[in-house]
Amino acid sequence: MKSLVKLKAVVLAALCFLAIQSCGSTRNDQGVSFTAFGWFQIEEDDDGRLTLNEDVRVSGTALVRTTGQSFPVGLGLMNNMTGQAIRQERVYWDFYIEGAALQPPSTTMVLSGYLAPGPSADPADEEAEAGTGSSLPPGLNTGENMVFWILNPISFATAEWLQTHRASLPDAPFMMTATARASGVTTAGKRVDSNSLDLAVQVLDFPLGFPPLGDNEDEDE
Amino acid sequence: MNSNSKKVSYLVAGLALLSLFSLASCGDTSDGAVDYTGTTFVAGDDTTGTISLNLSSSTIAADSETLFSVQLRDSLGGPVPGATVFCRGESGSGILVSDPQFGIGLTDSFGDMSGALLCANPGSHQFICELLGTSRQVLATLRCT
Repeated sequence: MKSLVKLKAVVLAALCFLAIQSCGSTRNDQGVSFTAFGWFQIEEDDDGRLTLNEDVRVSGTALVRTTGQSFPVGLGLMNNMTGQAIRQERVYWDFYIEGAALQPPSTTMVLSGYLAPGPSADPADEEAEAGTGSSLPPGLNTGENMVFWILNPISFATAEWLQTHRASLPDAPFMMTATARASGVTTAGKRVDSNSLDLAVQVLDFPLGFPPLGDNEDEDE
Repeated sequence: MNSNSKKVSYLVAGLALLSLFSLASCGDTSDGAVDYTGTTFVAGDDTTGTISLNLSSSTIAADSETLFSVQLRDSLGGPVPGATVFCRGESGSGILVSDPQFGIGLTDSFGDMSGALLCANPGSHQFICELLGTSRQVLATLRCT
């Protein structure tokens, strides 16, 4: 009898431990709830405006280290939760350069937006729209559960770091892996991070010879 | 029921209460807040390094030359070799960089770049050197008499 009571106590303690551990967890490593689903090509129209081409996926971009110029890419994010919307807040960036003595510092960028709940998981409902399975107020239930962002993965400060720490880096051109992870808050108030998504950044270096900037035009006169 | 059984019963009841309290606290809708202060990497002397400028003479006669040197250091104080530095006078100053050509040069293995400038117009002028493609820049005042 005593051993049965003790066994019950152990089982209950284990259940309690599991309950405590599972409460408040924000792990979404595989991006099941909040998905970063790919990088997309950015194009410039005749007026110089940037547009995103949802049909062309890319795996990398480039940074011209000497001039600090980097090229933007599109990031696709999706909310798969049928009952909760996500208020996006930031994207976290981590960088890794193979063979470097120092690694670029991590940073965050603002990513403000709203992702409506995903469509109902009912496979019979082929025309399910975003938010149909949610009990949120109608205003929060409308909108897209998928968004594309135009981002510049290399901030000016990061480009500057790469410029000033060239002695600790491989000779350019070299490859750098930029890893992005979006973060936001659900309408239930829980922090949720997307899966991580890698981007290949080719760091270029131009030799001397490009046109000078600014006032040295005086010298040509 | 003996004393050991009572203890076990109290323990079970305590754990059950703790579990209920834990589950109840999951309904808090404010625990998603994060303080992002300090999470964005910012360029500065302590993070992306320093640039300094020395003029051999800060006062020179008009139409005469003086030498200058620029020192680039990373955030650990090490030299920055092979970086492109662009030097120029402020607009309308008449300062001409005679060496290197167009005012653009590379730092050497010690992280230094040197050159010469010519002052054409009398007055007090700003001479500027910058690490191209970055916010790292340095100014010096040059008096042309």
